[in-house]
Amino acid sequence: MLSVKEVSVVFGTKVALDRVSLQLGQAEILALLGPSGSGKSTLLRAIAGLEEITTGTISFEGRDLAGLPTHVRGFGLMFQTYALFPHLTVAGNVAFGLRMANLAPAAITSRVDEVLQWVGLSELADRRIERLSGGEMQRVALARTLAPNPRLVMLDEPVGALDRRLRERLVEEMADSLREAKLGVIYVTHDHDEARVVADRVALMNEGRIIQTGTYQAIVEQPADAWVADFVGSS
Amino acid sequence: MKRLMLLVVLAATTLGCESDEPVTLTLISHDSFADAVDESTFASFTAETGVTVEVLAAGDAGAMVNQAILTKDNPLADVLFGVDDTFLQRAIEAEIFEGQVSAIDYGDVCINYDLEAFTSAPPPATLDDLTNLADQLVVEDPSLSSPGLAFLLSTIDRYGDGWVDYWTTLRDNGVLVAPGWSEAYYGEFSGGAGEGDRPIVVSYASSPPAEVIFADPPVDEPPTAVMTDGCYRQTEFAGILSGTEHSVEAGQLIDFMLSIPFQETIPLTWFVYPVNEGAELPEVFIENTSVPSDPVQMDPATIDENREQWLEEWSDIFG
Amino acid sequence: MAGRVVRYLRIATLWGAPLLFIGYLFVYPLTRILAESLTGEGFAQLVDRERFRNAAWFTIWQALVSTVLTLIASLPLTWALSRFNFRGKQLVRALVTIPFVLPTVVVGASFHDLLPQGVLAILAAHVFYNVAVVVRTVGGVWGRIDPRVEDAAATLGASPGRVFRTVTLPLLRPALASAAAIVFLFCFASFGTVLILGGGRIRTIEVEIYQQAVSFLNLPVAGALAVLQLIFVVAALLVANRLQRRIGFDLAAEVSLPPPGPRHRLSVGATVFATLGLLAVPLVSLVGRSIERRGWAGLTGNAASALSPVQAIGNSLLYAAIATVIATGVGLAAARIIERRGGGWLDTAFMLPLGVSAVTVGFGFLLALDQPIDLRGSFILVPLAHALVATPFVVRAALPLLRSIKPELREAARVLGASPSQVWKEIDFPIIARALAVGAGLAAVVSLGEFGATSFVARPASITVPTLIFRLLGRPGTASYGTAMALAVILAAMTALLVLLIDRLRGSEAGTF
Repeated sequence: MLSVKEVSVVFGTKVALDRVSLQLGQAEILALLGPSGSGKSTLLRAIAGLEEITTGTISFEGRDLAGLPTHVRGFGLMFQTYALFPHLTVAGNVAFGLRMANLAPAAITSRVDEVLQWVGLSELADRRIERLSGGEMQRVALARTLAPNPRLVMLDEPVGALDRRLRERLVEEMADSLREAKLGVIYVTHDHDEARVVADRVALMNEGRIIQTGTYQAIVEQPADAWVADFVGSS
Repeated sequence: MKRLMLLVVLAATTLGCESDEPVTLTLISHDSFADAVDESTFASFTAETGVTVEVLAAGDAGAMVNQAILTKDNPLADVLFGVDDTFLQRAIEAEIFEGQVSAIDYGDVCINYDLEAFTSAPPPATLDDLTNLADQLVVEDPSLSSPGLAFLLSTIDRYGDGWVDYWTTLRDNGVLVAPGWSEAYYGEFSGGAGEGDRPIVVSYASSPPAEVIFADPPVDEPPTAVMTDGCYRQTEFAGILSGTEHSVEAGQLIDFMLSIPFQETIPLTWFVYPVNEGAELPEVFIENTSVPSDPVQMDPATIDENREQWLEEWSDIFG
Repeated sequence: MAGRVVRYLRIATLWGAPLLFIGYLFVYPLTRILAESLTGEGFAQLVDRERFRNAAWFTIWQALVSTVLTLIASLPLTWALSRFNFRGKQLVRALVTIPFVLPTVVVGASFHDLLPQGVLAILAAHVFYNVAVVVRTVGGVWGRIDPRVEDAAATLGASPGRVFRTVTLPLLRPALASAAAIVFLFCFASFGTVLILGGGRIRTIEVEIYQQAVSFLNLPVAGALAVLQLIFVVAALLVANRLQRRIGFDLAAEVSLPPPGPRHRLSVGATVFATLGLLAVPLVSLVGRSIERRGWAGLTGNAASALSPVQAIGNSLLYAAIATVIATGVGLAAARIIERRGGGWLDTAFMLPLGVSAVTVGFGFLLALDQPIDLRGSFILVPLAHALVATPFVVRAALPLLRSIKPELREAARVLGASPSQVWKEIDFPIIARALAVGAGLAAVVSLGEFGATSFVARPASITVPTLIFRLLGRPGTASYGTAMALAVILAAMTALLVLLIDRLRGSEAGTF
């Protein structure tokens, strides 16, 4: 479904992504696992079209995405900081992508209700963003990302900003929801447990490169090199 | 007959390109002239000639002359009115005029005093008297204000090179310098409409009549008077601006401004005196002010040559 | 293909409108007048003569001292207004803004009653005029600093004075620099105040330019002085830009303000009353004189023949409306360019008209604006000149909020399917809308009070209230004087109403002056 081939992103003299290749299947959940600064977020941004790639190709369902601006790609990207719109309510945030898709008002309302119910925030629909707790913000961000039925979902450290207990509970919930939705998902994290619980497959990143790809189990059992062994082992 | 009609029509149409379009003349002047113009000012001129007049206010006299010089290549107006003898030379040298300029009116800049302040003591009668009074006189800055410059010229004319000493004495006696006429008269002068506490001010010979005309409630006699010594006569000129497409009409307008009916409206509209001796002065002007004795008039070329240096020396006294 | 054309068109209008505006109405006239007047001899005279060196020196130091005094005098009131909620707060804010628009001829006379002519009176008048600039510019940011940040410093053992010095002041620095830059420019270009209160002895560069150009018709020296002025103004703006560099902190979206507690009640009350008391003295004397001189009767009668107060009020309102629309559009586009492309030079370019002599610009207009359409006699030149001076206020109001929008918000919108223009419409615009309304209101206030450039380009039919006040004061008769005072009171009232309206619109403390 998504195919990333030999993609590099260079900022000035710094190589953020170094000939990265990646495949994502239909309804597959892939975790991008790596230490901070390893290029995970840059890869997501490159796929979303927010970062211009220096070399290589990214294609989706066989079509090269080069030159296709972000807003017509139809992907969902949830930011680590959530990037909720402060001037809109909870419902306004969730409805945003639907409005951009020019859905009829009635269709927007019913889809917003549906999604908010699904993340358990129906009562907060009219609340302003700054009056939400961290966990509530996280769920609004997820609801906003999923509401327009994106063709591909990318989550950048979606629970990274939450405390540990909340994180564990939400990760389980989210893993179930994502499986249920049967979407292609790239899930960025630096947390091994999250990667293990959520993903079908894991891609290990370090210093702008993908070092090893496979199930979490396979990577732990057969690390590709000393760094991987150290990185998985030390967790 | 028919042929004759045709000829007339033909003639009218060919001439029409030139003369049938109503001509509008633009008259550039300083604010104080422009502000008092109303619909009636040029009504009889328009009725007579079919030419309408638009007045363009261009700041004070200096700013107006400057604007005219700067826009010489694409003039803002057809006629300029209100250049006085202090700026005339500069305007003529810049070749902004087509032909000669004509004097239209004059005004005398004189010392005015508050009658109430001089009920027991005698009021000042000569320029010399002013040096004996402490903290009573307010003058305008000669480098910013036209009456201020006129008063300076009058002292230069009287004392020659001794004018610096004269002004040094004034300074030592606490003369107050205001930037312009309104600040001096309204802000510092104690007489009439003034709200200050200085009983002597540099103003105009026409200021006492103005005090009567604008008094509210009405008064019979002005609360201020004029010192007839040391007055300076400012003459205002009008000229056709070169580059105008309406020289003929412009000349007609200047003739109109010199005609008796217009000249007779001058005193009560602009508080200056008409140059045309045939024009009669209104009663209020005759009764309420004194005629200056032998007012000073300086050659425009002399003023132009020395003005900057004089002003520099003047500000050195106060610097 | 068509999309590309639309894109280019959008870029062209985005860049074109502000550049055309500042280029045609400021840079071009300025260049023309300087080209016309500059000669080597002009500069030689500048260097040679002590008089000009004195004027330059005085201009700089009085502007610096006025700026520092204004900051010191305004900070207590700014603190009270931006830290606490109390009854009548909006009214206080409106009253503080009135001096900002009053013509110098009117206020100068009042000040003169209080203080003898001299430097002290000039400095006091400059403070009087500019308190509003600081209250509004700095207050906007101060009100949005999260009090918890200061509380945190206090719990770490910092005394109140130390909290202010080490936490509050650094956070306020960009806003303080922005306010200081505006105050400095106003004082630097001060003309009427210096003339009236300087007693003929004290001259600024601005006064010298006027004298050289208008009284001596010495354009070479006037031109050289204008260049000198320009150099100082650009230097001052560059310094201010450095100080204004954004420091990375997030303004709280909305801090709900408490009423002053028992500890602060006294100091807030004292501050408000003391500042208002000082500001009120000249205003009260103004109202008094308007009544004493029976000025109100003259408003409708035609005591002043061609000069109709009613028409002037109508003109002022109309031009304020036109100038506000133009300044808001141009300012918004300029703020966008500055925010996106860094364009600090553009920011500076838009601030320049505040510090450059009205005489220079006024003569430049007459020289330059006869092509392609002769605008010189047109009434539209008046609101255009107003918009020129008002635009920086819109830029100032919009820019901080535009800069506070995190890039991720826009990216999130793009990912959700918003095209670039939709991002602008759905994200940027709503977030800055209130600040923009504030900027627009200030543009209207600036237009109402503008005098310098207007006096050069207004025709009798297009006269505004401040120019009419000035003209009436130049006419004989007590009736004119009274009418002028009454008009000044009306101008003050119009300003106060406008400011109340702005504050209603903005609700929260968004944006800076």
